[in-house]
Amino acid sequence: MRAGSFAAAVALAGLAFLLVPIVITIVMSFSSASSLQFPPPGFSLRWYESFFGNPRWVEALVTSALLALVSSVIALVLGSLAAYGVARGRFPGRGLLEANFIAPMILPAIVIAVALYLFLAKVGLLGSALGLVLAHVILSAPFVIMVVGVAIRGFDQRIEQIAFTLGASRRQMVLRVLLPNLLPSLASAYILAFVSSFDEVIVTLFVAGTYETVPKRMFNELVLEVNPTITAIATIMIGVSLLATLLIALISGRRGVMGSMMGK
Amino acid sequence: MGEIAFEGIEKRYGPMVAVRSLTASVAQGEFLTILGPSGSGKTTILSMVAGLTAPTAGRIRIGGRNVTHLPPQERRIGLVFQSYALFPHLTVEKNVAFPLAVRGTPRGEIARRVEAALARVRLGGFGARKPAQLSGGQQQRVALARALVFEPDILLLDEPLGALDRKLREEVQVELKSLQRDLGITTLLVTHDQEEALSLSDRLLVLDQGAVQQVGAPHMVYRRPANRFVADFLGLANMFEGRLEAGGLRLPGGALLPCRADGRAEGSPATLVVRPEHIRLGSSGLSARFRQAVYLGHLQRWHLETAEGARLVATPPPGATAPAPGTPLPLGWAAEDGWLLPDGTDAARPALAGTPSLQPA
Repeated sequence: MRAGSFAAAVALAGLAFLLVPIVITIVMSFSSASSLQFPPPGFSLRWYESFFGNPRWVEALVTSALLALVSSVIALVLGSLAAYGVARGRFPGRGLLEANFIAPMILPAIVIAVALYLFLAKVGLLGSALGLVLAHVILSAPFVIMVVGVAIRGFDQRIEQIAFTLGASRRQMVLRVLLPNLLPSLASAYILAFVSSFDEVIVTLFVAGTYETVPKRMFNELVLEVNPTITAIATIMIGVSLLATLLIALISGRRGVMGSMMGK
Repeated sequence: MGEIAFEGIEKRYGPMVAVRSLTASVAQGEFLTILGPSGSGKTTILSMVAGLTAPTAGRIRIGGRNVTHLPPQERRIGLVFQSYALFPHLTVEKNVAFPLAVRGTPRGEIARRVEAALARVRLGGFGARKPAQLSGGQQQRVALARALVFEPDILLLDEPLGALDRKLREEVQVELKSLQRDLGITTLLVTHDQEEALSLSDRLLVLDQGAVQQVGAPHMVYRRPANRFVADFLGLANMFEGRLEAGGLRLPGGALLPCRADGRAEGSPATLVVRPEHIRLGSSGLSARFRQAVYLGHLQRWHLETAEGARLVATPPPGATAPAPGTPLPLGWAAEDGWLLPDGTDAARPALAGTPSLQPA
């Protein structure tokens, strides 16, 4: 066998390894059986009915969506400002500061979870909505800082300087020059931040208190019993992620799905 | 209204001195070029005039007004970068309209002035295009139109022709010069390209390591360089070190080179500069062996070597055929074409006696 076809075979096997469980989950979510069975004996929407018919699940979905919405907006604003400061600033310790902002993406989630648990407990925010939002902002801001940081570094600073010499105030420069050029990256960053919050479970388990997000409830449900409703929820989650990926691909255009992260 | 005055300008980055005690002025309507190698501090000077960099010491005045601490928005300067720095998301029209739009100029007036500015750089009809759809030369003209549309007091050009190919560059040079003259706008250009500097400027300011080496009209700086660096940086220079005698400059090897002593004491050390085009082959004075010819189309350059090992470059008359390597050639020059560096020898940039340093054009 030639090296090329061997590589292709390995790639296909790898792809199958990643895709098959997802496909099985999606197929099972439309099953008519009352327990997890594959292949399903018949098809129905009963598990979706069970999900949307259960107020606790719907409430968790609303919580997840609101949490992701709010925390990703805050992460976008703060993260973009941080990215600009780190990319354009000329102060000592910039690298350190950036590493600090990115750290939540690299550190094991459990470490952040424990740290936030202790910190939020100390300041009395453990189990509060504010504490939960803060935790999610810390987790999703690194995505914004990375994506927007790359975009800012790729944007010639002389274009900003020219705007000033042409008479633009800082506000006019940002609104008329910087933001229009960063828009695709800001959108990608926002979607990434949204999805990362929507999927988050480990830190949420530690700090959410009585708040239930979809992933948290899924986790808790699985501990008690394996109910096929889980497959319907999983399918919905996969749908959200897929939609987000498609959106980013659409926004970044020819640059590819993760193009905005890799730069031009 | 548009004269620029530098009063003891200095810029330090930590222990590094980028510009040292610069005192100079640019007259209203004058075209001054700051010429220097990369790292000489020329771009720092430009960016201090633009207000993008603050000087460590000294003052900058534009039209008598102290602008040292004014933000770029309030300096009324038009700036063109080598990279053009057009706004990529805006059309040509909107790019040129930008300085007017941020000033809240009425829409009708913006349209009128943008059209006039684009016509002036011969880009009428290109208004609806995006910068990415234009050639380098066209982008450069958009940048120029944008820098001039709001009628700034001074125009700053940062290697504006550097990204253009050779043929286009000369065309744009001619255009730029006539535009500048028509508008009568005080212009400061920064470049490392000596041709650009010589052809465009009313005066040159030669800069090295943050220090002014010489200021003067292009032909004066070329014919009468102030020191070894200027002679070397501007065109090709044959340089000889020796001692002055009644008949000229005596090299350590014994040869006597024609030059005028300009009232300097006999026996004093001096550096003689002779441009390749002033060397007359066939006349007596010095003898050198032919090494090789460099053919440049419109002219050729012959590289020669004297018996003492000094290398020099001469421009032979048009159509001359290169002799075989090693052929001895008598050569000389008129005494008035030899220029003695005013500071005698340049201690900061020592060179072996009789060894000219060559800078390809």
